[in-house]
Amino acid sequence: MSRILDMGLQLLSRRLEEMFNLGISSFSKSTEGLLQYKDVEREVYEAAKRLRDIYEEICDIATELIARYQPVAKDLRFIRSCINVSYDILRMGRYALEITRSSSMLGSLLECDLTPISQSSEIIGKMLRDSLQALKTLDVEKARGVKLMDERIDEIYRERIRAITLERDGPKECDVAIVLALRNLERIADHATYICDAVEYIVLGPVKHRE
Amino acid sequence: MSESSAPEVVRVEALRVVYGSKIAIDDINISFKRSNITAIIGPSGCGKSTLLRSINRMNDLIPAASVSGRVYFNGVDIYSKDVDPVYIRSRIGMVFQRPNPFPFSIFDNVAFGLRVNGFKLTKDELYNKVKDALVKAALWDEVKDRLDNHAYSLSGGQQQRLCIARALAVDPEVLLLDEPTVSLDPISTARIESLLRSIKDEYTIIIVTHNMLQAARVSDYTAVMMPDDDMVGRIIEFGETRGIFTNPRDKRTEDYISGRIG
Repeated sequence: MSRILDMGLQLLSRRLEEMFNLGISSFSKSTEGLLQYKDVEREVYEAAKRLRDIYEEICDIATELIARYQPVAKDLRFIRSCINVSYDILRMGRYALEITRSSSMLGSLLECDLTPISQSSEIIGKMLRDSLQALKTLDVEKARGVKLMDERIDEIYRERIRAITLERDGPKECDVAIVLALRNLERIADHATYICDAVEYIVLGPVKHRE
Repeated sequence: MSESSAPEVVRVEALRVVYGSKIAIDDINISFKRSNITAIIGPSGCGKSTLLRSINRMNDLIPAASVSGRVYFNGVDIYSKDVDPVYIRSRIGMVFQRPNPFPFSIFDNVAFGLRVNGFKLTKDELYNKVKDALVKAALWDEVKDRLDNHAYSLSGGQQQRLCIARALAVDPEVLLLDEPTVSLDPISTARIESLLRSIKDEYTIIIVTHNMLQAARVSDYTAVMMPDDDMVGRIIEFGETRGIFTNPRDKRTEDYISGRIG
């Protein structure tokens, strides 16, 4: 027999998945805009606004479920995680908007070597899809795989910073734009790993806090 | 929230209680610490009340009951031949599901235990003992001007606090409560939960409750009991209440406290 609480938990899951798909789409648009010099700012901005609305809705549902049904154990951990994960997705949408805005500000980067950005985008795209899948199926192994991918994102970011400090030549616009984008991408990847922490927390209980 | 370093007051070892030929609870091993409230939860028929009654030898009053194993109170096995069960029940008080005041005045209800347990007190000392117990039970302000009124003139919630005062009046070390709020309204329930938290530093409190959220609110430690395939009650999980309600280790605990079974 299903519990009244289960209906609320299912509603939370649906809203979270909707939000996650919108966040992934917003991320893809922002990197596509940067790599192909397309104007996607309006779309990414509208997505960020919609993400804010869904975030508020998820917080409201979660608060109501706690107040009305006093969930415990895994139910409680799931509800707490929904609030945290929705905040992570909200931030991802915000970083996607930052990528778009910096791209608009600095103009076309088609002359620059955007390899680090395309590499990072590809990895992060997979991280986001896998973290959504891990969350939907509560797959701890998949979640741990996402966290391993984050190391490569950090590496690409650090390598680029190191390279810029050594390089004397080349257009400065490229350096600034690439570092700004990589910084925002690195933050999006971090939020994907926080979501995977939440998957572990839901399934296994308290995990060691990230440094 | 809890005093993990507090001294152990009651220790139960390999306890088995049998009613006739039916084993009610078996292989019970648990200890209870001073200044802590321990909740015992579990579905109906899992032996929660049987365990509680074993701790102050109330099962002795059930002719078909037989007890094996050990229950230590401050290191003394309460089932030893030389231990007086009446003494044990004065040191380990009990409050039952439904308020059961005696058909006396409010004052005489609280004074009853002091009189029958042979406390040699002057009139003033008796009054002060009764007052202290009523204060601890958070009832004094409501009854101080009508101590001679009949106990039945009190509401259900007040009667239950009177019963707690009666148990506290004889200075027990342990207080056993068997679903003490099951017949009370939410306000009276909240008062009793608050009073338990307010007095817990001085006592070892063990509460059996069907209300899992009450266990979550009021206790420091929680023991979860469950009947096995032969309907013998066993403790399946014991630990800090915070852990039991946020991250239970046993799947049966998870299912029970989440309302999936029971």
